[in-house]
Amino acid sequence: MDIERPDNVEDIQLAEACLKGDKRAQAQLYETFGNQMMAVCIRYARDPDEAKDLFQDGFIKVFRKIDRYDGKGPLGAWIRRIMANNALDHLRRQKREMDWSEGYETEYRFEQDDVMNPFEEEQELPGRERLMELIAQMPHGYRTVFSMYAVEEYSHKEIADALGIAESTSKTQYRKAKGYMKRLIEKDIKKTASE
Amino acid sequence: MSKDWFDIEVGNLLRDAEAQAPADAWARIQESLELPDAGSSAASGSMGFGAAAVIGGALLLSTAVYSDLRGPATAGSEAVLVAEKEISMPQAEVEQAGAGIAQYEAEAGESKASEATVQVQPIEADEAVQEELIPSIQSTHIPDETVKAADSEQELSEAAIPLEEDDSESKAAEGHSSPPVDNSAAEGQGKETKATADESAESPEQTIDASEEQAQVHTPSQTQKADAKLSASIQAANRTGYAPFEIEFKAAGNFRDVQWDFGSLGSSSEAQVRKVFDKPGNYTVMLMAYGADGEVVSDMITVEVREGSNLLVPDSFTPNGDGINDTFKAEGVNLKEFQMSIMDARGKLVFQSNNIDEAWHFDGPLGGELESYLVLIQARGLDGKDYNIRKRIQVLF
Repeated sequence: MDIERPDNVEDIQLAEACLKGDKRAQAQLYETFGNQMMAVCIRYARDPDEAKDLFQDGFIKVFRKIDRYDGKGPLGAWIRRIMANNALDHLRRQKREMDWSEGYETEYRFEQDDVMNPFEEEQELPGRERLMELIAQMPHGYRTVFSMYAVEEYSHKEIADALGIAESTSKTQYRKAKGYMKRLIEKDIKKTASE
Repeated sequence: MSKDWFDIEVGNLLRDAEAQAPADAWARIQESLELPDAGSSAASGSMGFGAAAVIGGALLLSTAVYSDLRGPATAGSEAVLVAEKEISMPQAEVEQAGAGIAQYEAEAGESKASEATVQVQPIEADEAVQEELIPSIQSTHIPDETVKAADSEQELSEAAIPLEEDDSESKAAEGHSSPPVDNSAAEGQGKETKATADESAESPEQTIDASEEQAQVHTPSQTQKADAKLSASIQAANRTGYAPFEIEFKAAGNFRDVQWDFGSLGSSSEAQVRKVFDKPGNYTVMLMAYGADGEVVSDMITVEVREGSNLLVPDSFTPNGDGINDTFKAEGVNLKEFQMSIMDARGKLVFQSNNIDEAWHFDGPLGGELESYLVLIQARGLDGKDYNIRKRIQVLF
């Protein structure tokens, strides 16, 4: 790592304290990362109840596996991976088909938007809160792939393995999800501008 | 397939997004974590009265029950005394367990300026609890590590700052005045005590200091009782923070009047004072407390105010080989996270780094046309401040 992240020393200490069962450390960890991780669960879940389950199960796993945090990266990123992997395991265990086809034909008509636009520097983006609301409007299948690639930063290979699809499918799905997202954002920006 | 500015920026924004966790989630999580330990679920079940009380945001069933166990002897008093010594007390534990216990950074509070964030609350005190528990004196040890963009060497000094809370905590224990024990509750306590003892037996990692005889319990708003001993201690949730640092100071104990001395920040005679420390530095805060008979006691703490973070991004640079601004980099102080991505007019990523000191060396043709690039920076200060910068820069020749 380039910057000697002060965080890592604190992260390691916090993790060690949690490992020892220090309840204040656990509460501290929960307070520090809880809100962010809830957002993660919301993005991967199909509904609010599922998000809540993913959240609780995910955190339990975090505390049970805290011994595996090696201190090499930030604790937050490690926790995020645990939460995301837990969500993906859960979805898999549900044995419900990832709804790849959802929105595929009906909503998504803007394939041309995928083409890399010339430098759209002027395009605004909504703030994070609004983006969360918009991404919630995406069909679950697109939302999952978009989250995995852009936010949790899985590679297409990892996505393919996790979801049981081909890597090329992952790329295609991402492309479409991204187009969908862009469309949602465009509509939202226009809507806000006209208000 | 590599990421473009949209992927990066939306990704960054969503990664930082937060959402309110369900209110009961923390309780459920803790319960599940405790499940493999036999007996503790029984303990939690029986602790009706004090069960929901909280110290420092952690759910500690035993302490609330314990706090009720003082005063005249009741049927279960022997068991009570035994349980007193065995019950795990987080503050004692933090003090006594020494090097092993983590010193971790407390929230710098308001400086986490993300949009509409709602704080996750661990369970709050049950209203049935008659006594107000001392707000947690958290270990707010922010290590002496300053990330300065200008320095090529990274300072990584000792993270171990000795716990300062020791003194005032023992004073707080002394300052504690016993509220009258409700005898009708005594019966129920016999069972609760036993259950408590069971639970504490399953916490081998928690060090109990037998000499710490009192729980950190007290009622801050209480005025001095005529027959109680004069005592006073300073309570402040956090003692180390980043400027501007706001602290709520409370005088706890038994006294008639108080006088605070905040040095350059003035004085006060209120029991509770809020102060904002604008400038970095070390401050000594003193409390004098006066009794009815003219006696005086005092307490003192040190507050450390650190410099906040900052980030500056140039508008342009001139890679013409004159040695001045030939490369592009941001300048910052007291940052703990940093990522910079630079994209050309076609959206292609030409530079990315997590190191603020790593400068971008322009690769393109010199003396060519005016080029514009987009710089995206995501950073976070040690003070919790978030930086989300999107800037168009010019490469000039």
